Amino acid sequence: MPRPASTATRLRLIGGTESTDAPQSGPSDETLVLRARGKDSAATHAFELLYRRHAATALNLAVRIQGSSSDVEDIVHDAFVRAHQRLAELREPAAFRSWLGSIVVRLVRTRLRRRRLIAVLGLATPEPVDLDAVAAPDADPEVRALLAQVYALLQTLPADERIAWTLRHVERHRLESVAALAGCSLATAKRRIARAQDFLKEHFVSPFAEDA
Amino acid sequence: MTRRLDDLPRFPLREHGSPERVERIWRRLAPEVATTTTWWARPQTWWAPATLAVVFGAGIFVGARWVRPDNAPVLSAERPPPVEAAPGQQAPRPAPAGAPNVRPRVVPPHRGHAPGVVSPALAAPVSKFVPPVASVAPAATVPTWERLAEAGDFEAARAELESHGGFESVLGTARASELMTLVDIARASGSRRLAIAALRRVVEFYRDAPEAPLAAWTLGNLLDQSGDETGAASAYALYRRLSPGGDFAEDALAREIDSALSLGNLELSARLIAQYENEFPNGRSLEEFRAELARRADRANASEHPGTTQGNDAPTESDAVHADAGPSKPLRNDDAPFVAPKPTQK
Repeated sequence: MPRPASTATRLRLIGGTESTDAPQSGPSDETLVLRARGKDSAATHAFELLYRRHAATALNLAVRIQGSSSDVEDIVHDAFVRAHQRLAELREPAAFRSWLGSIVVRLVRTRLRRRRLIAVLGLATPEPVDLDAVAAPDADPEVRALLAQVYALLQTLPADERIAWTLRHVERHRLESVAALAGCSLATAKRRIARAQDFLKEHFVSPFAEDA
Repeated sequence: MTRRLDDLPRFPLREHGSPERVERIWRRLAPEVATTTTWWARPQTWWAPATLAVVFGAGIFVGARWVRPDNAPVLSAERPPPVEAAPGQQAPRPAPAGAPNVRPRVVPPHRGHAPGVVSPALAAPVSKFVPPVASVAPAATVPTWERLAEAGDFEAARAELESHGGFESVLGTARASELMTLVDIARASGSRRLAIAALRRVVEFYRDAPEAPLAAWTLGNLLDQSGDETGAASAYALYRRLSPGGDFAEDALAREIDSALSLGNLELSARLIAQYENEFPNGRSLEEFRAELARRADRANASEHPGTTQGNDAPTESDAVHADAGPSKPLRNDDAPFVAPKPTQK
């Protein structure tokens, strides 16, 4: 019986995201990961290069999933610390980018759930959507209004569905990539996205539509 | 308005990876990454602190488990009182080395038995799970005399003590558990005085120790046997204060009453009997105490008013019960006039 492909293998096959792929200069991720696994100061330097190459991606991912920029620096910091600690577990060094993304998603999901639990217990108010953190400064007002409405609706969804929909429709990841980042099967990712989509369709009022 | 979500535009999103922000996070991250790399870089030394921690933990475990013999598993909250020899009987010989450290209980003397007679029913082992003393590994920090005593060889323990300055040299520095061992040694060698001295130190200096209640109880017994009824009553009262719900709380109060009756303090006796009735409404000696108190009160009234005696000179059952308590002492003249309470029917 063939073994199922590991997460790292799947990530490698997915090959990153549609929206944030950018040409890399210098050594490849695979080379840097192998160097960073070393036991000397060159390892630290290699990890620093990995960090500087992917920090912006991790920051954007965290902000867009949670709809605000609060604590994102902590999240990214923790994500890179974990990545560094578990670098030896990464079977496909070339998939570092997606692997790091899955760590960020996991951390954000934990934070979202914790915030929701605290809000349910009445210990804090729900965290508001920070539209300025999500939308580009030069975005059209109508687009900003649309984005605000989408994020407001997403806030009422379970964290997993919210993450899956955001990865698919905001971050523009492929379905396989969404599944890998969310740590679930492709079918589960599709189901989550579909549930979120149905909910948004039911409650969404497009600012572009003309009055009847 | 029409609801439509299928044609969402590609959102113009804000970028958050400004160089300043990335640099700020790296400043926090770099020390941790460097530390982890350094830790990897020295694999030949990482096990040293781990080994030290394991050895330290094992030392604490062994020390806590074996160094203090009184830390051995004990199922009873209090140690059972040591065996006392009844008058005319030979003192029990100490248990041989390796025998289980189980002591029979002693029936209080006012329960219809001679003082110190061991009830066969109560002489059963407290628990068969108490490990044999021989299984306890001797530790270097335990004095030889204490180890010998814990093994049941009290004679050798006494000899060892005598060869190192005697009891007095240890009394001043011994902990509560060691003092209790000294008490055992003293009693096994027939020295009630030294046993009392050790017990006094426990109740005076280690009143919060778990050994204190038993020490107070045993002190009361020994003082009672030595004729110091006032001291015995104080010790029993102390036991009740230290262990209000203890196994001997009822017996302690009963002995206080015995002592008060024996001293002829009828006012104190009446007060203690009322307390006994309140705390132990089904107490085994309640009726006995009531009857004795009424008889003493009648006697006191008769002595104050000789013409009003109503035939109480005939010996009663209560007289027979307390005949072994010695001759009754006269009432103190400075006691306040006492009116005996009528026995209440429960």
